[in-house]
Amino acid sequence: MTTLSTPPTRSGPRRQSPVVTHRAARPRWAVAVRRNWLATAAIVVLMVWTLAPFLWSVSAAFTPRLEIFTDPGLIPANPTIEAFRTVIEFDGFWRYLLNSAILAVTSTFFSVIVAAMAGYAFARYAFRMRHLLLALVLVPRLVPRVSLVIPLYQILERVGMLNTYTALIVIYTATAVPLATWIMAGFIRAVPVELEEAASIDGAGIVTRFVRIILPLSIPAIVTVAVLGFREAWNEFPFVLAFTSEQGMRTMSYQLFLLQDTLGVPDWPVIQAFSLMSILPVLLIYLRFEKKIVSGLMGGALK
Amino acid sequence: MTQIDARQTVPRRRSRRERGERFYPYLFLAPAIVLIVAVLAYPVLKGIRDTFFRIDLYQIGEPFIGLENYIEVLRDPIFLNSLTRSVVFVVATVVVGTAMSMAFALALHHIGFGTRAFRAVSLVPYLVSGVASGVMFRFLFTSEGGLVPYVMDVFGIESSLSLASPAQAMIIVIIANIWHITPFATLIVLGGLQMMNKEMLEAARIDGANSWQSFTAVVLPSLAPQVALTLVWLTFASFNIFDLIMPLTGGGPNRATDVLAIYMYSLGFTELNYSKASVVMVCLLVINTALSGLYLKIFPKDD
Amino acid sequence: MRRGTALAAGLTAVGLGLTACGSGSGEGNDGGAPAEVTPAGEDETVDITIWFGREDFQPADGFESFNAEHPNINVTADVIPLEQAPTDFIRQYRADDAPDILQAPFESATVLYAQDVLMDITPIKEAWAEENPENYDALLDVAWDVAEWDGVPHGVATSIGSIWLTYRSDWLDEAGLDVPETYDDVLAAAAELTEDGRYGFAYPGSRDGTPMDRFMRPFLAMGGQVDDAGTPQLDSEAGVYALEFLQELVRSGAVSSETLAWGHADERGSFIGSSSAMFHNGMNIMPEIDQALEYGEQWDVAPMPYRPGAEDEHRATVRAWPYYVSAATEHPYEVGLVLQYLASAEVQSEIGLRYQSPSSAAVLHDPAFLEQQPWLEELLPAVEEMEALPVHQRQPEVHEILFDATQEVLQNPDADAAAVAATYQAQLDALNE
Repeated sequence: MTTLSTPPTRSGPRRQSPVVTHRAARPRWAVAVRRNWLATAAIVVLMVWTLAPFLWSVSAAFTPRLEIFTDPGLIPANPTIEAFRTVIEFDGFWRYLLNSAILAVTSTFFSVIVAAMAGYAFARYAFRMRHLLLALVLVPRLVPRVSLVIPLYQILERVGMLNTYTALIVIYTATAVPLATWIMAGFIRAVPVELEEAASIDGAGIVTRFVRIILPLSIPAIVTVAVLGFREAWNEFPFVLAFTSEQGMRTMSYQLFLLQDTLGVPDWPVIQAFSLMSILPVLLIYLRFEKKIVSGLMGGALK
Repeated sequence: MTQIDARQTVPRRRSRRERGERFYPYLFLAPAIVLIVAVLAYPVLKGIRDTFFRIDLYQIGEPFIGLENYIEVLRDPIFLNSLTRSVVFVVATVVVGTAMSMAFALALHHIGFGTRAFRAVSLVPYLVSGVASGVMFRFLFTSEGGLVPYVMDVFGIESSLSLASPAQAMIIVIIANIWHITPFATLIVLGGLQMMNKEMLEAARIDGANSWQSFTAVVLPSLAPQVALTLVWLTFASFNIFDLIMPLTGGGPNRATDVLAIYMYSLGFTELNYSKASVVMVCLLVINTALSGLYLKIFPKDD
Repeated sequence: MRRGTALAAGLTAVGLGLTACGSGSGEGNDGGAPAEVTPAGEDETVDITIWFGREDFQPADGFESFNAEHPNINVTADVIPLEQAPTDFIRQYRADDAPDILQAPFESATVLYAQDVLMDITPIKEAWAEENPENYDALLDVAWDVAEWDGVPHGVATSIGSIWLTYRSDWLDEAGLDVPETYDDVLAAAAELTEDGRYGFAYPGSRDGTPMDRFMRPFLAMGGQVDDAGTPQLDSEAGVYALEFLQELVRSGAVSSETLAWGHADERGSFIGSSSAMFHNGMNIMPEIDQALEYGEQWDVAPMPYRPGAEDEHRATVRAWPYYVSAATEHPYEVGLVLQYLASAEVQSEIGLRYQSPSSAAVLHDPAFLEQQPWLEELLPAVEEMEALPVHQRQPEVHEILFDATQEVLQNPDADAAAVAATYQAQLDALNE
């Protein structure tokens, strides 16, 4: 990012005065703010815009229920963790958390494997039907998920697979595969063919090369694909809403949606606490892999 | 789709094992193709087929009725209302969202300090589920305890945005949607800025262009692919919006935010009329396909 | 290439397999035909499966006393949410795996009638009346009426839902107002009781749930009519009056300015939180109100008001969640026994105290029951006159249209109600074409 703060080539007259020592004493951000007040202002707006909903939500989650109405404000006068306790003791809370985790982890696992295999085939091999197959992977990106709800519901109903993990896992995997394949193919194409040729001469078959060379080298792409898939499955809503009715199958998103109405009078602290807890897992994963994800998104996904 | 050229293909040696390996690519692709056909392609085809039959649970049998479903749906004022609402929603999101993502991306590009941290924070809404975003924004605008009425009150402004007012609810939904989906668009534009050819900027500056001129003459044109992607992303994500609106307004008040996906859902699962819901699904597909064709025409890809 | 062909063949197979599943066993049983009702043999074990629509509808003793009396009948209970029950049932029925009894909202049972999957339970009723007359006679007529279609009984309701004008008696007294008898009185009182931080009336204008409690029942109380198909006559005098009533609530500021976004939870919460003076309230919510406010001192109930000059056309109606009998049941006699158990005074009173109102006059008049729900006493004469809320075969579509109509007038309090009524009447009538 150092290139960003390159000083202008034509310095104004003021800059010519020997203030070097003075400048060095000032922190880097202060210099940047002075030179680039417009960008700074925009960043302040960006930060407030991005974080205000969260802060208000966090604040509410730590506020006693009635104080929300009587004494609104960012800093609760009598902070309490009552709402979080209510959420954790909520009938079925752990079940919903487990359901979300099962669906997200398994579908991510399968979609990574399936996409890595398909991406490898696309990246390395020219063969008959290739264009057709490529289209088969790309065209579904035009199909919005929500449009699948109605026909998939009827199909699942007829095969008796509503309210099953299997159905949701298969569907989540399948909806994640097209984009994941695209990213994997783009990445694997950049892996030097020579590495594989060398292994091939040593007698390694295609499966060995895929497992021993391609997969380890594709870790950055795999991380990107996995986090995207996890986020998508963890946050998914229309499918669980349509395809499950049993309480035991509910996910965090579904329960959060129901929470607004099942509590009777809206209990905002509990709703916001639940909402924050539903966000937390994805947020933690993001913070852990932030650099890889951002570069993965800016690189592979966007091409 | 011409990225796969001969150069990147593993050279074929005619050993026995190699000949056997010729079929491996198909094998590697098989899981992806099976999933996509079963979960994405088949339901879409089935949905299209269903539009020509009368399938609703209030009668026995599924008679073929030709185009009757299309005629009924396309004439239905409620469908036309949903279509209009969708268009308003999408256009507003795309116009404001594109402008905001460009402004934020430029700010992130030029700020010169803490770039990575700011960028990381700005992407957070992308990780939050649509349901959680909806829940948070509903709370932001709720009359008792909401942030927006609170801030308005502090500044002594009487009227606030209310989810109970049809026109204002639409504005709130658009704001929430922009908050939820522009971070990804910002990242796309930022990626474009960072790949930009710096010599051209320098050249423009040497030619005496001021920053606005160099922005319009150099920055904007070279960002065209990213802007195109942003448009596609914002349009698709908005046209198929469901998760966010359900908890925020449920399509109300008085169908003011009853966009196509919400309408489709209620046709299918409240009125139990699957064939009419499928007509709306086909409309979503047609619009998505037409728009992507349009964008491809406006922004021909330059690789 | 052979493997490529195999792949294609495999894909085709997947497709065909899925299509084949589409043409499942469509019309297996022909429902509707009265069945023979005879008990199973003494030593034969009979399995009966029943779907409850909510956890709370299950008897607290978990069929213990029933099993003690009928050791050969093995009852399996499952909870399938009311919203899901009809479609789930149809699916299971087609797969020959349906329960013997299902509980469903009476207004969505029309889909079960249409699919012809329910039994004509006339023989069960007859056996019931003969063998267990005390239990049978205690049931209000409406308990059967709500589960009847084209004059054929398909089930019985052991819990019924009714709504009543619920008001802050202390505020009315303070303002020197009488308890409203007509909806004109309601409007006058609502305007009078509205003050800073307090609404005269709480009205849920959003689309959550159904418009039955918020529109159909007030409309029928105002003398509204439905035709033989169950189509509400919005463009009648009563219909226009009902829409104008909502407009006047908005115009006078007697309801929240956010009423269009209010759901039932907001409506109830507003009354319980002392922010609203009156509302149409379900019998099942009264215990909750009783915990927050003092009955008799602070709040009270009254029968639904009527439209001035249309007292004779006033209709008090109930909705219900009846137990329906599957046309595929092999043991109608034992099903009858299960229904009798669910309808018994013990079970009804236990559920009535913690959840929904009983449909048995014996329970409703039971002093022990009335002691727990004192508000019931003054409503009893009205309760016994209640009839089933009429439903249309395409009730969900009727609901959508009624939602549209009510939201339109709430949003446009100055619109011409008669014109709005005419617009939506045309849509309602189109359902019958």
